[in-house]
Amino acid sequence: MKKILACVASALLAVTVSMTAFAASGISANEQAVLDKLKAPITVGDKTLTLPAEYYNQAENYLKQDGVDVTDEQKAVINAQIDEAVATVKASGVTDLAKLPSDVKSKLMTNAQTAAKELDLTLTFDNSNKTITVKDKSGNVVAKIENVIKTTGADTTVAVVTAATLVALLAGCAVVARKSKLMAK
Amino acid sequence: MSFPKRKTVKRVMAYFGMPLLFSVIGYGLFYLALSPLLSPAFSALGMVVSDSRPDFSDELSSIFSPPEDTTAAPADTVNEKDVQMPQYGTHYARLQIGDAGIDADLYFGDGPEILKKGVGQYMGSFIPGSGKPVMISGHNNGAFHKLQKVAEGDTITITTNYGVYEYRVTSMSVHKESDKTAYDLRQQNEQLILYTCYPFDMLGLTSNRYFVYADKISGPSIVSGN
Repeated sequence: MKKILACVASALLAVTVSMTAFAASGISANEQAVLDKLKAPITVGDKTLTLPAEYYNQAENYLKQDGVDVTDEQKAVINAQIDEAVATVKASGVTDLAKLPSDVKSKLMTNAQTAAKELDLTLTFDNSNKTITVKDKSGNVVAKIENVIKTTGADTTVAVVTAATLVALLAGCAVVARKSKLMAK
Repeated sequence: MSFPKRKTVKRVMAYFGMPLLFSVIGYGLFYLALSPLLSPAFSALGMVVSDSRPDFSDELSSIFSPPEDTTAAPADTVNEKDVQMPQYGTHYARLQIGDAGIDADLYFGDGPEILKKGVGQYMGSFIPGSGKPVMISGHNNGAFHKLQKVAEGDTITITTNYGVYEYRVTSMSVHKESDKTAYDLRQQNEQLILYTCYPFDMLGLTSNRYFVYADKISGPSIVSGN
């Protein structure tokens, strides 16, 4: 489910963040309407799903940027995208992400990439880190779909293992040299 | 192998092979131990002897300029039109916890390249003054190493271009990195959430995080200009 929501969020972010600049910072009525739709719960069967807060928070932060605004026409496009994504999720009837059919996943991924390409945005999927990065045409990162809590500690494992290996090799060399009497006259 | 050949091999090993091996291993150990000190030296040397134009495209930008007039009475609100929303990787504020001796540059975003420079605000949270949660992370062997010294009642100060914000520490706790109950990004309160890896002196990666929670006590609220 997280990946579905991530794709939905990416598609929506791809549309929202592409809007050309007219007004200054702040959230306009059209932008608020988009954010309200993002936050609206989705019912699949007897289960209620909502987009994680960190996803629409990023959309809100981007919409507050200087020079980002949404016109009435753009709002209509965005809402249509949201409705299509929601319909796809509902039609799947699946509430467990692990059981989502691959064709549905592909459809959502395609929606996100098509929207991004059409609007001069880049969606980059990093399978190794399981992240999605949304960038504008200038290469600026505007949103990231990733783990909320980051790695904030030093990983000295490699250095420690390397040092231990080198010391072991050193000791091994010394033993070999002694047993082979390399230094004996 | 005949005796003379065996003796030759032993001599080659004794006078060439082993010393070479010892030298390589010794160099490796030296490099590992001194690399944190050598890196800046090589960077400085590179500026002098480099034969290509340096590439600053990956450098992080800054929009932070501390307020000059600190004598004026702080305002209760600030117009959102006077607030420049930072982009990812932008240094936009300064975080200080005097009681714990923490003083770090605050960036928008929390990618690895940012956490090397200072502390980073998660993009799924909000900037100070928004009336919503502010989540900031830092390395336990860097800017947030002294987070372990923070106690209840301590004051955290975040200085931005548009105002100075103070938060009072309410609690600290340890949670797994996957524990979503450790934070609430939906709340409509300006709670400051700081975190770093735990234990603080852990060698290698850890799945635990040390959280510090604080409530806003002063600073201008960002209001609509309409």
